[in-house]
Amino acid sequence: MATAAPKAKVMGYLPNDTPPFGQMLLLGLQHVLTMFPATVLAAILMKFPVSTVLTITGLGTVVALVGAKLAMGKYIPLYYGSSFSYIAAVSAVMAAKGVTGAVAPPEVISVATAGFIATGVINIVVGIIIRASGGKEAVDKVLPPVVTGSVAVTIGIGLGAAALQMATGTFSSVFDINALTNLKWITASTITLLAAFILSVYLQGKGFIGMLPILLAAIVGYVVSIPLGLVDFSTFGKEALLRAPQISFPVFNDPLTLTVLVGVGIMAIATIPESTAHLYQISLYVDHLAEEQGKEKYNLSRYIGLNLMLDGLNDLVNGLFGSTAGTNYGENNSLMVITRNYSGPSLITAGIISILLGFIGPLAEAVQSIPTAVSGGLAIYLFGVIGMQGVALMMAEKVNLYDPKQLAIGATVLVIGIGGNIGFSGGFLPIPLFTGVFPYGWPAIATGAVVGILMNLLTLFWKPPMERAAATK
Amino acid sequence: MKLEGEHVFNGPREDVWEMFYDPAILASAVPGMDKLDVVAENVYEGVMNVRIGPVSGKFQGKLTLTDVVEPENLTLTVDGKGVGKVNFTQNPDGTTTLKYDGDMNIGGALASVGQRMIDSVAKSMIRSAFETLDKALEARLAAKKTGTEVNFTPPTQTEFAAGVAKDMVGGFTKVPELRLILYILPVVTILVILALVLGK
Repeated sequence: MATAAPKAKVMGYLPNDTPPFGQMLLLGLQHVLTMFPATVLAAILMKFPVSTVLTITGLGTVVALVGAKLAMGKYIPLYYGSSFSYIAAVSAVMAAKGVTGAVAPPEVISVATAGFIATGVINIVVGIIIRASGGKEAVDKVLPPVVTGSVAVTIGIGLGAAALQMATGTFSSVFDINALTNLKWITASTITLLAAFILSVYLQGKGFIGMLPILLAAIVGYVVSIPLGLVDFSTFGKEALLRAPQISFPVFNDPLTLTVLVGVGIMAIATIPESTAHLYQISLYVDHLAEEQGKEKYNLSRYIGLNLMLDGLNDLVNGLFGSTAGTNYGENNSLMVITRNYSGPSLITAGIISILLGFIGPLAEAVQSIPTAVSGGLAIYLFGVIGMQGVALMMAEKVNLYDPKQLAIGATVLVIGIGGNIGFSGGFLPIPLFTGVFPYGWPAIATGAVVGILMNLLTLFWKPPMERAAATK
Repeated sequence: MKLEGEHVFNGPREDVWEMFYDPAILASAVPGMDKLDVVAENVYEGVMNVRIGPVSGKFQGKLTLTDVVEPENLTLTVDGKGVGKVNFTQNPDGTTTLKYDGDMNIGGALASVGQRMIDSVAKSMIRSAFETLDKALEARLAAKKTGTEVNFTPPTQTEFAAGVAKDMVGGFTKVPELRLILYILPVVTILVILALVLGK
């Protein structure tokens, strides 16, 4: 580990540094361990095959890193795992397709991944627009924090019912309280939630182990689930030790396709501020190390547009081969900061390790055997965190919630998104318009996002009197 | 916009200075310079047409030379538009290094085409001007040697336009985002073909 190395000179690796092979392997493994819990959990929650997601997100990371190096001669050190922002939109597709099992059949995955192609294209286009308009200001005008923050809240809290259903084993809001036999189930999910809470609070700042509270909580939950009889061991031993992960390709001729393109595609706007924030963060630390080592600064934060294009490219790779849309991982950023290892080649190594992990059958079996109660316990926490991050974004950007404009935009996005996603089957609003595009109804979270964007645009063209007065002063 | 750089002329400093001080040569070297008239000593009046794609701008202005220390340096002032210092150094190998350092304000329709575009056009113009001056100097030195008439024709607008186009294409592939697109297109094409073949 880089932290254990002698501190004779300023230790650490800059993005373009290549550590010696043995170290690179270890550093890569560490990255894999860091991205593993969230990436696997996102796969499970979206009912995607875990092996495919591991292999293709690894491939996507390698493709994106190589892209940065070729485009600007330096790596942008980010790991692209699967994003939680798409869970709500993908769950709606799964519900509409009547998926009941733990893993959706390939033909349904093919319908959902068409949406990731859309997010990929949207990210690339937004990246180009940022580059052409000369900065982030233009995007902030169209996608102000009150919109992106509220959409993030919607995505997280809109999944609240799904988390509770997983945690209680009900899978429906219609139940008979006297017929429930799920106390074991609730025990497992509660213990998992408690473990996640305690581990993330009390392991914080304890080095590398402090970055794995979710993985450790999942192990605690898993162990507790065994005596409760919730782990299904019959699934083990069916897959070969080494086998190719399932690859499926997007289809664009399904009745749901247009809904998916809009409903899933627009979730890209929730990952844009997150991705940009990660770039700023890592840029700061990379330049700090460069300065300490007396080397030229990287100034990565200049490449906001390029970074989004890489995000989009990664989504395209994932969408094309039946994996989940990605985002760069804050977890891996923290790992890099702690270990002072920002090496691009070690991230590529991590990507290659992840690609290979997808070929190991028993690993997928073990992951797939995690009881839903355990995932449910983690989901209560993690879905809530997505929502809280939206709040954090608005606080960091100092959104004035006493301004009727901001208040109205945020309020509308939240009610349409959360209310629609929880209150209506599959999260589709019962609006009988454009039924050709939306045969099941309008996807609630995407509709909320678009309404928020339109409300904001209206105030750009028709300035509120207070803003006009402030501008002329 | 800041403009600075240097250029090495293949000739002695006195000849470079003399050439530089000749309004006819200077006018011919600057692309789009329609005329440059002598108004008073060290004061000229010129009309210049700059065209970048669909946008063009006509500049009319007074050009004043100050701080003239022959044959070492001078300061060029274009009223309201900018100021530039030019410095000539004699090198031991018989060549002359010209250093320039200036600031320019660009307004009007031209400014709307974007800083990067203006930068690359300005660089093209300067490079093209030096190329012309190189040829002019060669012609002058040859004429001086043989005692004949100076035989020199400045490049046409078309030649200049071709030079700008070439520079801009070269500049585009230096933009990381464009290079990334040049990477994304083939990668995605290969992946799509792979997906189509494997999907069958």
